[in-house]
Amino acid sequence: MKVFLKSLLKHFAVFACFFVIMFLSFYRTGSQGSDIFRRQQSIEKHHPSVLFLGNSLTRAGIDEKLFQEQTHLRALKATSNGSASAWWFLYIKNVCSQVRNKPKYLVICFRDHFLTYPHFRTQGMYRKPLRSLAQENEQLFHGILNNKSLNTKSVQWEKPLEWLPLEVKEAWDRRITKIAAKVARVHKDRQELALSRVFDDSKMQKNKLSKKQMQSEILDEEKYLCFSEQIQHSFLPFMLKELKDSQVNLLLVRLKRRNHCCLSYKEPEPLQKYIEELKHYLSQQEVAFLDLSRSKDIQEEHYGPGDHLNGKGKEILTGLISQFFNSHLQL
Amino acid sequence: MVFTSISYIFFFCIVFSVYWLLRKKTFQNLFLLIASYIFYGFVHPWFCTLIAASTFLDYFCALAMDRYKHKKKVFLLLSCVVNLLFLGFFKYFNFFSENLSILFSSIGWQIPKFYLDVLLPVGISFYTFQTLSYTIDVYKEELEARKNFIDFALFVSFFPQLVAGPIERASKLLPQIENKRTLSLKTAAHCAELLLLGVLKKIVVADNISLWVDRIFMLQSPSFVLLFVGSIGFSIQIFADFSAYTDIARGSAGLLGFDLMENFKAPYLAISPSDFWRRWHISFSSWIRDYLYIPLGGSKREFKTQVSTLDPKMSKEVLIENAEKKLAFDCKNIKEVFAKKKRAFTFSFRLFLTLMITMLISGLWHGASWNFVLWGAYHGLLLFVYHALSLGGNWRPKGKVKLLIAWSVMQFFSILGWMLFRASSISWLFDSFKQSFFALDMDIALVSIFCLSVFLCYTLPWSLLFLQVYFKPKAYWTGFALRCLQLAAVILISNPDPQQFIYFQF
Repeated sequence: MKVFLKSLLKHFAVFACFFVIMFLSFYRTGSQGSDIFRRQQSIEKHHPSVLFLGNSLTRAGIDEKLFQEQTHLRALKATSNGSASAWWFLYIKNVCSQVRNKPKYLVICFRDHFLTYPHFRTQGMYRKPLRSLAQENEQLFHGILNNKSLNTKSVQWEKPLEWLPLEVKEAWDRRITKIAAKVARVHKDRQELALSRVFDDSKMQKNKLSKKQMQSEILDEEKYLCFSEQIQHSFLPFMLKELKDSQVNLLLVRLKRRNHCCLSYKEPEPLQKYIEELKHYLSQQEVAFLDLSRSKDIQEEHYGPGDHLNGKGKEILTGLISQFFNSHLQL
Repeated sequence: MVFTSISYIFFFCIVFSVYWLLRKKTFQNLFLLIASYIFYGFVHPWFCTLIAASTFLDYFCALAMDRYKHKKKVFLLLSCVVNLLFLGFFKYFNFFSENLSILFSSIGWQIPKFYLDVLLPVGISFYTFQTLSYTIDVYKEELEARKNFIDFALFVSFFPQLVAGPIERASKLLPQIENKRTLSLKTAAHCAELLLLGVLKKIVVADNISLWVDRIFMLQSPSFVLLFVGSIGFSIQIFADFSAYTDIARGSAGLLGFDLMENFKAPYLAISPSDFWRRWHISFSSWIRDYLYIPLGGSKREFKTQVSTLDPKMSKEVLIENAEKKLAFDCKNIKEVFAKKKRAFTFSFRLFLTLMITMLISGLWHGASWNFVLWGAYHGLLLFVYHALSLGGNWRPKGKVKLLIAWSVMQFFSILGWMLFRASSISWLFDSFKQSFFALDMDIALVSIFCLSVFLCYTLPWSLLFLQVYFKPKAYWTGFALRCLQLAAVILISNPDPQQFIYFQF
């Protein structure tokens, strides 16, 4: 009897542990994104007329002060490195549309056809910034991402944003940072500063950065270039709706990529068709569109790593957008 | 299909279920063969053409060697040349073309540079060596040529070890394919442990450490301190990554009733280069030893005999003086002494050459780049120096302090070797040393401490296993608690952005 009870207890302990781990793995805590309030405060504080939304290309390519000088419009940049339409949608929905002092114009800088692929930059390390802007329950967001009609070859599982394991990993990473700072007997801000200085983009091998970026941006399958299919499953219509309801005007700027500067570059026909259809769609929605992909003002020498512009390129891009504002848009 | 992807989990579940439902071994082998080709062709279907061609060639060459024994050298040569041609063409064409072009242009001849724009077949280095071992063993009459094509084809393409080893010998794997397999609960539990450990090492240890290692090695000119820290991280990363693949391969194969060889035996406990190569990538190093090093004339026994008859410290005058006192190495006159010294020198030179050729080829096998070749040469030199100092072979110092010193020295050399292996290029490494070798400021010190903390913390769930193996606690629950901890680590602190296995590129 004793042996039987012992065996039973052992097996019960096994299943109990297993159950606890599985429960913790799938339990969703759900909480408001940690970055929402800070970003709302930033808009309320700066009260911009024009808000530039984008990723590191926008951060590297737009000079707010220069824009302000050239257009006499207060400008603010809201960027997140590596972000794409998923992050922009959350920003528009949870930040831009929720503030009292909404900007008059929102400018989104994008590349080629990345605007309408909803899954771009929603996995791996890009989930953290998405969580930081998500509300407790993002049904529409998950609904768009989990729509599997544009399925990829291999099985993918879209984990919900509010997934406990991600929070645990972040807590573990923060703990490591604290340990390192304690061992070095410095404040963690000093450590962060050291990391950002040592691993600054300007100290990286440019060809490696470009290669890594290009590898992370491969979206060359034909399905991504079929606008009529993509638009039905993308964040774009919902972004336009949110902005219309908030009475914020939108300007979409198609950036020139580094490979566009090559003399022998010829834009593939599917991409040309995609852009034409995008233009047509945006004009129907009364959304301004500025296509800089063929601008002769931006050349190869204006680029840093990957598609990022250097200092000179930044001036030129800002100037081009300012020019467009002054000549075409009324504020 | 990456082992840590959901696609592989689905694939393996289907294969496992159907495989054990098929009772007959013949059907099981056929099914596994089809599954292996699906696995391999998942990346790109044309890969299957190449492996099929290699399989057909070696199958018929082995049968021909068996039948036409007087012409077996021809068939062996045919097998080796064609297989190595495939390997050389797809893997090394661009490397040799570029370097030939540079060589000729340095002497004033401009030759056109030919560039091959084709996807490198994954695992070509591994299965090429595996099939070569089969044909060579058949040639040496250590193995019978197989008539059953399905069994042989499965030996070549068996999916758990196809892409990144272990490189199995035909004498070990073929009998398992040809015999009935069984699966016991104990074996299944052991395989599950291996799978869990493999996944832990890959997505918790290797993938998390790689983030910071990659950043260090992407710097334009990092200082030596930072590079060394990065190399420590890389040494952990590559061991975790590669041994993870082996564990998952062995676990998967074990669940199908096959026993694959261990590929690693605590390599970072090595105290000498010979010891290191007996513990690291064992399937590859033993292949190189048996099919390259020994045939080239490398042999421990001969060297030991030669060395033991000489005292290298003795000068000519001392030799003459001591000649009458009957020296320990038993020579009758000075001429004999110098004759022996000359033979020893010739032998040492031959050993050096053998070691360097072997290790250069080992380095080149890893990739078409000069830093891999240099890494191979570096290890070749280390092996030679250790042998020359009589510290090679089965040498083991007596005393814990001496052991610790030997281990520390070996680990230092090992980490320097990984620095060469991981470097973007040789020129980048030398430029970094030239510009900022001694650079060490507060920022670099803080970053180094941070990186070391990351490496240590992410290695923790894995290193707990060593404690269990070392202390061997009797309580049954400790092993179970450890597995729970490992499972929790896999679920909770794995890198959400999975990286490819390092050895996939070889």
